[in-house]
Amino acid sequence: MRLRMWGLATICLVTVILISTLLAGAEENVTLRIGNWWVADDQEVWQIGLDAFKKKYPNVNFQSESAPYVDHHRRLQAQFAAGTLPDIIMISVNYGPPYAAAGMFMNLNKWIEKDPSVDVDDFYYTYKYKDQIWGFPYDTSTWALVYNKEMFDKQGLAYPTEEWTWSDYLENAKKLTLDTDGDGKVDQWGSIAPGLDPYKFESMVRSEGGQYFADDYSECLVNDPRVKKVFQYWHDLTWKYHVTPTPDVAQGLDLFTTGKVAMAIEGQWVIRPYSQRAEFPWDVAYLPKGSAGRKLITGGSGYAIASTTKQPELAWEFLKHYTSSDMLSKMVGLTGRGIPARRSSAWSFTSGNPVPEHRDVWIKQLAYTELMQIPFAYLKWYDEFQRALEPVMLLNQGTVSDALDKLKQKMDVILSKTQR
Amino acid sequence: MARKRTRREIREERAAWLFLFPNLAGFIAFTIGPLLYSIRLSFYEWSVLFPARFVGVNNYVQMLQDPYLWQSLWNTVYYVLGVVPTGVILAFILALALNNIQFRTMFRTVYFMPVVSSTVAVSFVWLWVYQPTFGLLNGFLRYFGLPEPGWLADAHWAMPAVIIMSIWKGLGINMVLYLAALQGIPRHLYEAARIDGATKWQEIWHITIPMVSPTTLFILIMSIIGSFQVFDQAYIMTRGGPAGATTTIVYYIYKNAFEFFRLGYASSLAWSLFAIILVFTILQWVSAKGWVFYGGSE
Repeated sequence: MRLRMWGLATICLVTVILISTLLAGAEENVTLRIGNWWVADDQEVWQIGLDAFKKKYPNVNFQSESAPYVDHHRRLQAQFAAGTLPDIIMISVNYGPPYAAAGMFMNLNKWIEKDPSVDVDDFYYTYKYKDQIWGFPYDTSTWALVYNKEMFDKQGLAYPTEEWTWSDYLENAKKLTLDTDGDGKVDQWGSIAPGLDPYKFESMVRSEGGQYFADDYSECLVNDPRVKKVFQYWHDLTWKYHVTPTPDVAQGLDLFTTGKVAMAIEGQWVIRPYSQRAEFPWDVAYLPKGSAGRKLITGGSGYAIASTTKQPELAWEFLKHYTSSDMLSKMVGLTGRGIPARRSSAWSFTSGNPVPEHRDVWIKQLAYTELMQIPFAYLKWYDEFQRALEPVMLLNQGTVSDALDKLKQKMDVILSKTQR
Repeated sequence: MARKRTRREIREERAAWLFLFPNLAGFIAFTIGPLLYSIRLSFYEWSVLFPARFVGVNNYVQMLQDPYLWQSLWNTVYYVLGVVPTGVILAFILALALNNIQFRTMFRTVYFMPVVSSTVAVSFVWLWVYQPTFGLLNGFLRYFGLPEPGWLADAHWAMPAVIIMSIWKGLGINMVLYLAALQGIPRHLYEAARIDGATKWQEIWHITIPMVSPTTLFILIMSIIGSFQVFDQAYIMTRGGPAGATTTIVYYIYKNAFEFFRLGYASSLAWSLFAIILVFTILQWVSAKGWVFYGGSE
């Protein structure tokens, strides 16, 4: 019996010694955890930046924790509550405000002050919450007019120009809505109806001189006549002029690449899929101007550092490196994944892609942009926006004016309860 | 007076508890625990990001004034009324039909396959079936010159579309349960009835249906409990639209918890749903005495 006890004790002691030597050896290597939504074919793109960083810091290991886009943003909540946030967090700008207000991210202000190598003004927009910079964007985007050149040619119409207004858009859409096979039913439409996403309509609202919210988010301003004008225009396109297909035709389909619509409003991410799928020549033009000129909004995604990170200096070095001009052009621009969020490297987007001819329009439009408006309860705003506008825009029930009045009332209440 | 247990009995009981312990511990820690915690949570306002705030019965009061809640409740009741009666009756008819024919096993397999398929995968396929202009279903209707509804894109047809797909998916399991019950009906009852000159329909009404009534009760209770909690189809096929037509109550709970950061309110919604389902189940259980026949073979 005593022999057995001694044997057991020796084994335990040896195990402890072994483990501690292993751990001591492991302390040489540091691991940075990155929470992200890198999909399978993105992985190699993001790896470029990781490999480059390892060359400078050979003892750093990376642990990539990927989840699909929506799930990734959801789990941040749970991780924050449990104290298990990764060191580096990939995040879209519209998810930021509540997380930033809750203290999820490291405040970068003092790091930027101490470090002259970081040029914050080079970014097209900043991840800021009440004067506190909490992250850096890696991409930016604008909505532009994508059109089917073949359809324009067939009707002998001139391609869209930089001077187009929304009435030009309507006039041309009317001429491009046709019954091509003579069966009495329209099978080609001039335009798509933009999906009911507030982000999609915001550029057009701004171009009319309106905006969704007051600058300090004290009030919702969607009942402004200029905002109503924009939604009434798109409503009329479907239900009065019949130049866009109704939802029952559009559901689940990519109308542009299947050659069903002549014009669409899209961001630069369509370059790769459209080039692969479209069997006709197509090009990009500036988004038509509104009564207040050309005013657009932008948004995108970026990276931040968790406030709970155990390696703030290393995380800061990594963040600087990963969102540097050089890295962004290599990972984001040249690969065609998006437009880098830095003025100094935005050009790389056009050089990496052969089509379409005027793809630099997406970059040129950036000169007219500012960051989209993001209320705290962004997802609730998104939900209310759809609930208010779906009946009138998609099903032609009720009027645009009433829907927007009701939306304003609802949002005023929500803003007062959730905005910080 | 209970006799003193033998040492063997005590040891066996201890072994039983030891075997049960891992499952019980997990169940208490990961199911019962959070369940009880969520009752407490329903009296708070909690966004996970900020500390919880005690609000008493405020969440429950708010519920009564929340139009979206009543809409989602109505949508769910609509779904239950559409899926359960039709599904149960169809499953019974199918079971009758497949009880004594050739290639029985093949048919049963075919009807059971939707049940074991992932709801997510099935939803994606049906999205294409329901496509109004290019989908299978409307193509079929078009061939016969019948009207083509907008299905998932039409606020009036979206829920019927989800109902049809759900009936199709759940048919197999109820059918299998009925098949098993049918096997257990003593043949001499049918012989006796035939001698007395009963028609096929009378046989079904007076013998088959009462004899499978315990199974019917079970299927009804389980179907209603399950249907009240429908979520996958709303999440994948319609995202609760169009215009909130397919937002079911569990989908609404999900949105409140994970999109609007209102875990306290979502908890109160969840427990209200529990209360509703409980009431329905008790009603069914109590009314069962009136129509369920446990006679069995004599």
